[in-house]
This record gives sequence, structure tokens and C-alpha cells, in this order.
Amino acid sequence: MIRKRSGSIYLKNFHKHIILIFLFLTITACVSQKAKIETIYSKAENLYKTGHVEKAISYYKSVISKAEKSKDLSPFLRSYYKILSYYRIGEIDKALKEIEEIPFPSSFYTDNYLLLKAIYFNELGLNLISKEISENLLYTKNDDILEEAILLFSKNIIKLHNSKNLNEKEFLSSIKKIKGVLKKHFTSPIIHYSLFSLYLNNRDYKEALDEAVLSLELGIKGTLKRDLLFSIKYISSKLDESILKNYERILRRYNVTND
Amino acid sequence: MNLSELLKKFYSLAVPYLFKTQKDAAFVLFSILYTALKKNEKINSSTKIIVPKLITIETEKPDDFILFFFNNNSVLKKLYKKELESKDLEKLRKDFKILYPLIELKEPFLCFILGEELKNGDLYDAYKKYKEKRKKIVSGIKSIKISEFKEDIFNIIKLIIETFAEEFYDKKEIREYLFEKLS
Repeated sequence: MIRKRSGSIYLKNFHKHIILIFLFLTITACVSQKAKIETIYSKAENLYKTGHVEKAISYYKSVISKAEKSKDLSPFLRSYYKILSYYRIGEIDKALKEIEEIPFPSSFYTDNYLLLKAIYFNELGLNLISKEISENLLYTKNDDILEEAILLFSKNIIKLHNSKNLNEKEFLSSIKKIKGVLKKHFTSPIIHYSLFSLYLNNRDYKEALDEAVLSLELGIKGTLKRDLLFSIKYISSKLDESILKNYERILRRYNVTND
Repeated sequence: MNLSELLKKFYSLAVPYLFKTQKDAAFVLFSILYTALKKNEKINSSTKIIVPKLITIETEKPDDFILFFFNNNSVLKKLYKKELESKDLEKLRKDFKILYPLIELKEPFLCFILGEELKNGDLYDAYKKYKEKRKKIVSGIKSIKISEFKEDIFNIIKLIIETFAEEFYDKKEIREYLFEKLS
């Protein structure tokens, strides 16, 4: 009797162990699948930024197919990785369609979800909605999301300001908002870049130049850096010699003198 | 409940229970969970997923900036002489959105798309095939390849635009056709 009872306990426990191990393996499989896709995506990004676009495209496509096939990823993550890759390979329509249908995620990824929605509304030209969402993201704790949100926020502000859907007071208050964020993130070149673009758009050339120089000094890269370098040439054509004299050494260092 | 909490709950409930019933299994599970919990520091940070760096630069620039861009490039200055004289900012702004990312920002995707024809010196063909090529690239046809060349691609672009400008200098309709294809 005793033996029989202990045997049945053993069997019961055996099932519990199996369930526990199965759950554990499911969790780790999900995490590793995500890590795998992120590794491929990062490789694609590096290739893309260094001009190896064809190779990068094959990696982006691999991300799409892996995300599609994956049974372990949540529906949100599955869509999320597809959207990033569709965007990069220029399949904007597919990316937008995925954003339309993407399910609301768990609390971890709410900011990522909102960022995609803000991009979506910006693409559709609904700048006011995009501005509202990106403004909300200025309070995120995720620095990467914050920088993207600020870029998008300033893009929306510029569009709204130029189309007279934002008055001067609101425009200046947006600058103030970004400056508020800057207090905690002074070393972010992206935030300085965003301020630069707002000042440039408002023809505040001296302020724009200061922010451009700060952004360069803090190590801005890629297309944003090239935009700054060209813009400085333009700004130099607008400022008085007396002001430019103070910047002479820096401008020469970046080879952007307007001689 | 996040992953960390979930694992901790497993750990606190399952391990003591198993120690009472199945010591061998308990040790195995204990070591697995212990490793997982240690790894969990990483798992926690990986609840942050990759953030898309998709926001491109704002091509909404002041009118003066756009005029400066065209005037600053000797080839474009020639090519857009009429528009610059008449300050046709509608037209200039439209083309600026394509030319600025291509010439000054060196946007990788755009360079890739136009790379082969630029190398062959046929910008006209590049423009003409732009949409078709883009479609092929994204649908995975491998016939399109960008040759690796070390020269500065933008010097080549300028050279081609220069040649192109000489030939089609005042053929406005051709230029419009090209940019219509590109946009």
C-alpha cells in the first residue's frame, strides 16, 4: 500500500516537474528567439549604416521571415520586428499596415508601441496626433526611445509651425519643453540636434549654430552629422563676421568655413 | 508579473517542495533556476527591445536654406537656373527633398539604389529604373548588385549631373519626368 501510494506521488510529482521544466524552457526559448532576431537586426543596422545596403537587406529580410515563423514571440514582438525591417527596406506601405494592426503590448513595450504609432501618424501627415504622442514620450525612461521621440517631436513642431497650425507661443513652449529634457540629458547629441533644427527653422541662427556645435562635439553621427555640417555653411552665410569670428577655430576644425 | 518575478516565484515554490519529495530532481531544477535568476539581470535589461532608428532628418528647411543648397552646387545652380531666377520655391522644394538626402546627406538606401547606374555614368537610366529596381530589390531578386567602388560616390554623382546638365540643360520636361519617377 505504502509503496503504491509513494509511487503515485512520484508520478504526480513527475508531471509537475515536467510542467515546470516545460514552462521554463518556453520562457527561455522566447527570450532566446528575441535575442536572436535582435542580433540579426543589429547586424543589418551596422551594415546599412556602413553602406553595405545589399547585405543589410538580406539580414532585414531574415528578420521578417524569422519573426513570421516564430511561434515563441508574442504577437506584438512579431509585428514589431517586421515593422522595423519593412521600414528599412523601403516597404513603407507594409510597415504602416503592420503598425495599423499591431496589438497593444505588455507594459514593457508600451513606449515602443507609442513610438511606432507616432511614426505612423507622422507618415500620414497627421502631425498634431504624432506631436501629442511623441510629446508624451518625452517622459520615458528609455533613452533610445527618448531620442527618437524628440526627433519626431521637433519634426512635427516644424511642420505644424510652418503650416501655421502652431503659433509662436506654442512653438517657443515646445523649445522650452525640449530644453527641460536637456537638463537631464545634456550629453545627448540628438537632443541638441533637435534644438538646432527648431532654431534653424525659426531663423534663430546664432542659437542654431550653438546647438549644432554642441551636437557635433558630443559625437553626432551619420546623416544627422552631414546635415549639421552643411547647415553650418548656410548659417555662416547668415551671421555677421563679428559673431563668426568666435567660431572660426571650431568651424575650421570641422572644415565648414564658407570661404 | 514580469519574468523576474515569475522566476522568483517558481524558485520559492518549486524548490522547497521538491527538496521534500525528489532531492535529485530538486538539485537539477535548483541549478537551472539559479542560473536563470542570475541571468535574469540580463533578461531584465533585455525587456528593453531594440528601438527603431527610423526617424529621418527633417527636409522642411527655410526657403533661404533651399536656395543656398542649389546655389552652393555649381551643377545644380546651372541645372536650376530658371527656377532660381524666378524663385520657384515650390519646384525647388520638391526636388530638394530628393537631392539633399542624396547629395549632401549621402543616404545609404538612395545611394544603393542609384549606385550601379551612377558608376556607369547613366543618371538618366538610374532615375528611369528607380521604381522598378526598388521593387526588385525588396522582392529579393539577386540580379541587382552594387559593385564596390572606392571612389567618392558623390563626386561621381556631381560629375554625372554635370554631364547630364550639359546635355539636357534646358529640357525642362525631361528633368520633370526624372524627378517624378524618383519621388
